[in-house]
Amino acid sequence: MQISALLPNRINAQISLQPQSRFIGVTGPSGAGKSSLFRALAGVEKSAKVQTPWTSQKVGIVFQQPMLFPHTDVRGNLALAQRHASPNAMSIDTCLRGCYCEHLIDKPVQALSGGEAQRVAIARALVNGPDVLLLDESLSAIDIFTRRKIYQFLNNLCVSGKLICFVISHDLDDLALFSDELVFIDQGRTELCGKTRDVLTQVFAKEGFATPSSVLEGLKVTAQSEAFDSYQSQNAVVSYKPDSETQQDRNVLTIQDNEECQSENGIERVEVAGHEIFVTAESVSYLPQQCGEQVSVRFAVKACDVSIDTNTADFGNASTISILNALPCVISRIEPVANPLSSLNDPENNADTKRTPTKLATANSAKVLLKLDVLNSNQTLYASISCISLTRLELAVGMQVIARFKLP
Amino acid sequence: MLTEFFGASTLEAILLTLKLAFITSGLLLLFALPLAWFLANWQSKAKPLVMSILALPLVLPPTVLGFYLLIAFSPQSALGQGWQSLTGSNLAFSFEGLVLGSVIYSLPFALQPLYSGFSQLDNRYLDVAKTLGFSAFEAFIKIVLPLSKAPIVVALGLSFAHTIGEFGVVLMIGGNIPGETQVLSIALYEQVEALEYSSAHNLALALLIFSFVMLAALYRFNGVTRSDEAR
Repeated sequence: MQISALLPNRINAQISLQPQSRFIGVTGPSGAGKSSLFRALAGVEKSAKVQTPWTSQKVGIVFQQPMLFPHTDVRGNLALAQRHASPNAMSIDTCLRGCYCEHLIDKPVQALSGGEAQRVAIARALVNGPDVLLLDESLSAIDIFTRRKIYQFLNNLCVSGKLICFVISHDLDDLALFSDELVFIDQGRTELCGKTRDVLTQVFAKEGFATPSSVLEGLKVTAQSEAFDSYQSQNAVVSYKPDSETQQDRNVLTIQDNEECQSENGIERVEVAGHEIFVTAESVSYLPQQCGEQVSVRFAVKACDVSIDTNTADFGNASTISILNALPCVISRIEPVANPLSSLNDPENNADTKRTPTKLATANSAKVLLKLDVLNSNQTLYASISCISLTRLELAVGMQVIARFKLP
Repeated sequence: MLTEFFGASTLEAILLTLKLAFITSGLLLLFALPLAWFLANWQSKAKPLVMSILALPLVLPPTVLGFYLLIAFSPQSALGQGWQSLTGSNLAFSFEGLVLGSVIYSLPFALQPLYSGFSQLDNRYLDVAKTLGFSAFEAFIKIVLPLSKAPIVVALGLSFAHTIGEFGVVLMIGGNIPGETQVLSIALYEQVEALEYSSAHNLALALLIFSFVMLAALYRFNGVTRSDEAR
C-alpha cells in the first residue's frame, strides 16, 4: 500500500505499508505535519496532491476537537451522518455501543464533556460507513479504560476487514498495542515507517525514552486449546500450584477453564514462545487471522514493569513473588537511561541528551535499559532496572536471565 | 383604534412602510446570504475594493445615494428605459423604485452581520460535512445556515429596522406620494412641516418604541445564542 501526500511548504510524505495492515499508527512531535497529512488524505486540503490506493472509497476523519454540529443534539448529528451513509454502514446502535456512548443519544452537544464529545464524534464518523477512518488524536480526552475499549472495537472492525484505521496519537503504548504498522512523521516527512515493534525500537532510541514499551505477539489460549487443565479448581477462580514440575505448568497459576469466568476476571492467556503469559483483557489487541487459525493477539509491556531474575533454574517455581509472567531471555544490550533531572541541570548537554542517550555519562544515570531477546522467538523485551541491580546481579550482554513482569 | 390614534393617512404610511420593510429585508436576505458566503470564502487582492463599494451606503450621505439612484432610475438611463419597456411604468417615484433603492441602501446592514458570522464559522464543520458526503450546497443549507442563525436574525432585524427609518434616499427617489411612496419618516416630516405636532408626537413616539423594542430583541437574541454556544 503506497501513500504519498504533498502540501507545498508543509508536508511531503511517502508512506509504504504492507497490504495486510489495517490499523496504522502515526506519531511524531507536535507541528510535524501529522494533522496536515490527515487533512490531505481526507481530501479537505485543496492544494494537496495525494496518491492513495483507496481513491474510490469513503474516507472519514475525526479531529481532536470533535466538531459536533452544535445546532442539533447527538441524535441529530448521527442522523446527519446517516444521510449519505454507505450501504454497508453499521447501525447507529452498533456504533454508539462500540464507542460507549449509547446513554448520550438524547443529550444536547453543549452538555457533553470533552471525552463524551470525542466518543460521539467517532460514532458519527462510523455511522457514515467509511472504508478508511482517520483519527487525529480523536481519543485524547477519553479515559484510558474506555479508550482502550474503543480502540479494541475499532481494531475488531479492522481485523474483520470492514475498516482501515489511521490513528494519530502521542500515546506510544496505545499505538504499540493496536498498530499493525507505525509511521513516524517529522518536519513534514516520513522519518520511520514499518512494523510497529521495529519503528518503536527506533523511536525509543531516537527520542531517548527512559521506559519504552515492547510489543509481544502470541496465540490466545482458549478453552479448546487449553492443555493443562487437570488441576483446575471448580470453585476457586485462581488456584496456586507450587509443586508443579511439568513444562506445561511453568506459569504456576491455572485459571479456571471457563470463558465466562475468564471474562469476569478480565484476564486473557497468551502463548508467547511456548510460554503462557497472563494479560488483562483490555490490554490485548487482536491480529488479522485466517479462518480456522488460532487467534493471534498482541500486547505491550512497559520496561519499568519488567524485573530480571538470574535464577534460571527456578523458572516455573517462583512461588514467593506476586509477579505472574516469566519469559526466558538473553541480554542483548545494556545502555544507560537518560536522567531527566541531570540533563535539565546541565544546559550544555540539553541539546543532544534527548536524542543521543547513549552519550550520557553512566554516572548521571540511576537506571539502565536492558534489551532482552526472548528465547526461541524473534521477539524483544525491554527492562529498566537500577544501576545497583545491574552491579549486584553482575548482568552482562549474552547472559541468560528470566524476565518477570506483571500483568500488562 | 389605530386609525383614531394615528389618522387614516398616517396609518396608510405605516402599512406602506411595513410592506416596504418586509419586502426589502426578504429580498436582502436572499441576495446577501450567497453574497456574504462568497465574500467570506473569497481570497483576492480586489476584495478590499469590492467590500468598500458594498459598504458605501453606510457612510455615504443618503441624499448622495438618492441623487445617483434618481439619475439611474430616470427614463433616460439604461436601467430606467429597460424597466419602462418591461413594465410600462416609471421606476422613479414608484413603489418598485423604492424597493430597489431600499435594497441598495440597506445592503451593508444585512451583508455585514452575515459576512462576519460566516467568516467566524469554523471551516472544520464543513470539512466534516464533506467527508460525511455532503455536497457544498447541501452543507450550506444543512450546516452553515443553522449554525449562522444569530447573524441571519441580526441581518434581518437590522435591514428591517433600517428600512423603516430611512428618509433621505426615499425622499430623493420616491418623493411624497400617499399610498405609493409616502413612508413613515416622510409622513412625519410632512406633519412637522404642517405644524401638526400632536400627530407628529404620536408617530415619533411609535417609531421610537418600535426601534427600541427591535434592538432590545436583537441584543437579547444575540446574548441567548452566545451563551448557548459558550455552554
